[in-house]
Amino acid sequence: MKNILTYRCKICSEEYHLNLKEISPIEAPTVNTSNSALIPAPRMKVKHNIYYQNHDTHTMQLELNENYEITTTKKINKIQTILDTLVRSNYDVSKIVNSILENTENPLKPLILFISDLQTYRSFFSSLIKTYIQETQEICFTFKSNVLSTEHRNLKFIITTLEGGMQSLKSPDKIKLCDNRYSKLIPKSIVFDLVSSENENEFINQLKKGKIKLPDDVKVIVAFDTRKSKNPPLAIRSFLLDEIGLKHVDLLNYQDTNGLKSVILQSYYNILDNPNEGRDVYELIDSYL
Amino acid sequence: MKNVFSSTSKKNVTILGYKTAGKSTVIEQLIENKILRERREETHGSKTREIKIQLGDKEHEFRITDIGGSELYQNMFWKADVAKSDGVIYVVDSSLLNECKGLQKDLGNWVESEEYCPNYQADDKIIKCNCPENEMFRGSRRAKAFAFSILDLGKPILVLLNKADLQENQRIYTEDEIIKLYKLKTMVAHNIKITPASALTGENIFESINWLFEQME
Repeated sequence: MKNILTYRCKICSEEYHLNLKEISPIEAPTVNTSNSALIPAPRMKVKHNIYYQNHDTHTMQLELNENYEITTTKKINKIQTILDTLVRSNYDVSKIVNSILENTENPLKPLILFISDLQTYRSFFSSLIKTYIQETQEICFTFKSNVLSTEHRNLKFIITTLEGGMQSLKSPDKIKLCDNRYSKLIPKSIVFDLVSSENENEFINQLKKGKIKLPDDVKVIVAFDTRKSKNPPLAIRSFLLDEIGLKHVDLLNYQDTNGLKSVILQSYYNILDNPNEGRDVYELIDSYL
Repeated sequence: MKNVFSSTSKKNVTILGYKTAGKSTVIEQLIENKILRERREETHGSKTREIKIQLGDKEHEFRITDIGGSELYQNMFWKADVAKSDGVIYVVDSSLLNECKGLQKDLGNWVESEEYCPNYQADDKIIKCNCPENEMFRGSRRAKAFAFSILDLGKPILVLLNKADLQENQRIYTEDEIIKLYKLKTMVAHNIKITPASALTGENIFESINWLFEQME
């Protein structure tokens, strides 16, 4: 069995590739769709289904019923178009980033990050950080905080996993969360993605020892998944509130319908002065997640 | 890092209620003294905030936890949070029944029915009506029954009959009817206050919170 599925745009004939190894079966939706090779819409969920239903086939050539606009659209003026492009380009980050950066008037740059299921969300961030944040230096979404450097001191918002936090701790030459040496890096909002009880314990130990310091007014989201985390989220919340002294802690559930969307929206609201700024975002995310 | 004892000495308030009852809006009203958000999403989990509010001459600093009202979060969080709280706010959507014609028709018999029971005949009557409000109402009553089953008699409970502002031009349910519909009188053993309110306009929110603080002191 080959691990790459090839998608071909029937208009421009450009090929896109989907690496099956990068798709976690855990994250795949269980909704069945037709076995037809014709994809109704080139979205990740559909690809997951193809993976399950055709996993014993070799490289497939699939017709798409929509054109890939990115191959023909160089100038992107509307967020909707950006989002469409993101989905249709098979999450090709470099293409998207380049397209966005070409459009200097794009008012909602950070929002492009919020479109995916969890698995893609991760890989998307990993790729994106290398290009996007180094250009904007405004907002950082990362699962590997150790890639941050002094160049990113204007960041307002950090998404990291405990794993990312641990990595930064183990790399003393790299920046640490809220390190005093980089005072401008103090985030307004942090999302902790609890997926490993080992990392949770280590993270809590480091907090207890004072090796990780969080600003009192930081808005923290603990995004949990009881299938993957052994620590009850309530215990973690109590720790953050009672022992660390945080004032704003959300426990949000990835497992719930729209749970990821809730994490994304809440994290975005946390950095807004006026929550209504996020209304357009909601509409867009609602249609894509 | 804060001293453990300084932060835990604050009063803890938990806000409960079925989904879309308006719990998050109540909190926003408390924090901002107005409603900023034009659109809301269901709470998927819990949200805890430390807030300060001025009530008369007194400033109250407390921790309030808003928990999602769906069955998932009822089971996951309600009991543990209620156990830790010094007081509870229970929010009821009092406008829920406005568009349910079937329920309105049977209301006369309904409100005189026996003690709350999930299998009570009155519920069967509602099932015949296809109004979406019916399912919401049944869920809301189940949520209320669960909430009150885990409440400690010693803790004050403020019941806000929320969305009072939405009853204009519709059948107006009296406070007494709502109390009967939700079987709130069965909870007389609790230290309870039941009051109409509107999180959207702020009507009765601060006044009734003041009562809660008086009880918690």
